[in-house]
Amino acid sequence: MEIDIEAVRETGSRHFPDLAEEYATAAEAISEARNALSIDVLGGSAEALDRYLAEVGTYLDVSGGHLIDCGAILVSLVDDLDWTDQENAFNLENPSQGVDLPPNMS
Amino acid sequence: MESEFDDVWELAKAKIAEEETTLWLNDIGLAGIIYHSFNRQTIGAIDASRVTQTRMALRGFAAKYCTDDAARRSKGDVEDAGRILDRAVSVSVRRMNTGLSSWISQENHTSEIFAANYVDSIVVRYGNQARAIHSAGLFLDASIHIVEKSRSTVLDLLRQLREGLEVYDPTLLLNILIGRFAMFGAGFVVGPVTAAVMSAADFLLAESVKELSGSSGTGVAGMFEAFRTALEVSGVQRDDAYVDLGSQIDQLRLGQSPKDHICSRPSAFDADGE
Repeated sequence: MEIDIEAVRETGSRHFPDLAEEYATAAEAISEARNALSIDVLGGSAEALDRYLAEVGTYLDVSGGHLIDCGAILVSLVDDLDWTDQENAFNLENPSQGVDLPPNMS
Repeated sequence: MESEFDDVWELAKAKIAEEETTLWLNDIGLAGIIYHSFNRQTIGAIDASRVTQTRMALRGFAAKYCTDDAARRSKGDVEDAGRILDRAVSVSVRRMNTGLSSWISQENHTSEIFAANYVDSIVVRYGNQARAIHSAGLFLDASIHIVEKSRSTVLDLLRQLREGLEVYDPTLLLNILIGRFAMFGAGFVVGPVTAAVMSAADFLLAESVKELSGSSGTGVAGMFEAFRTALEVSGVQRDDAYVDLGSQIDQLRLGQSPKDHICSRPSAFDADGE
């Protein structure tokens, strides 16, 4: 079984930020809708509705931030894996290169 | 009444699904945006599927190779170690054999030494790497949980609204729903913009709130307060899960060194430097 490093990297660098962008779009739409709401028309429920919608917007914004962070972590993990793979591949092909030091001195 | 309500509700949802593409392309209202943003197939579903595939690959890899047994079986066996490495991280056996040939062509360099102080070291390092991959799989799981949690919470807003309105003024809600959506069942053809305006989500957050606020303003206000509180609690739970995830990732990264994952070149010396 092989790990598709590029698939993992794409998940972190593209899919997660795309998803976060959708959250941000929805949050922005909610913010615009709050501005458009008329307290006069809505009567006594308006303030409660406004607080509720504000909470929805906050929920979306914070979730979007978490998604971006999760994506960045995935990218960093896969970068580590990619780098060590390349290093190991080189070392496997070239075991005789470099200075041969005793293990307790290297 | 519940049965009739459900029929109308299903009709409305079916219409929304039918008009999804059009709705998405038009300037739809607040709740319509929420509904379609988080119910679109491309949002959450496809991304979660792709992430899940990767997660399954990581899990399978870790279960197959990240075991002491795999390391034991390969100990002292260049070919077996090579096969494990080859399958595990796409490093070619040929590459390793080439390295071995180069190594043993030198004076006092034997395949036994190569196996003892190089292959073993490689297996250990790939074991470390495998465990890191296994941890990455767990992080993916946790990430997916965060995505699904927030997605389901937002989708749940519509259900909350429906249930809340049912509690506070079910008769009015039913009448409004029937009035708004009966025309779909009667075969009326509506334009895309009209259909968008008539989406169940738009209706629930815009029209019904206006109408209900006049008849039961205090009750509806209490309903929104309850929704807000529930969402606030859900947000705290989500943040806690996120902090836990971050803490685990930090522990993993702080506990690792590049040396744990990169094999050294073989040495003709033994462990005591002799």
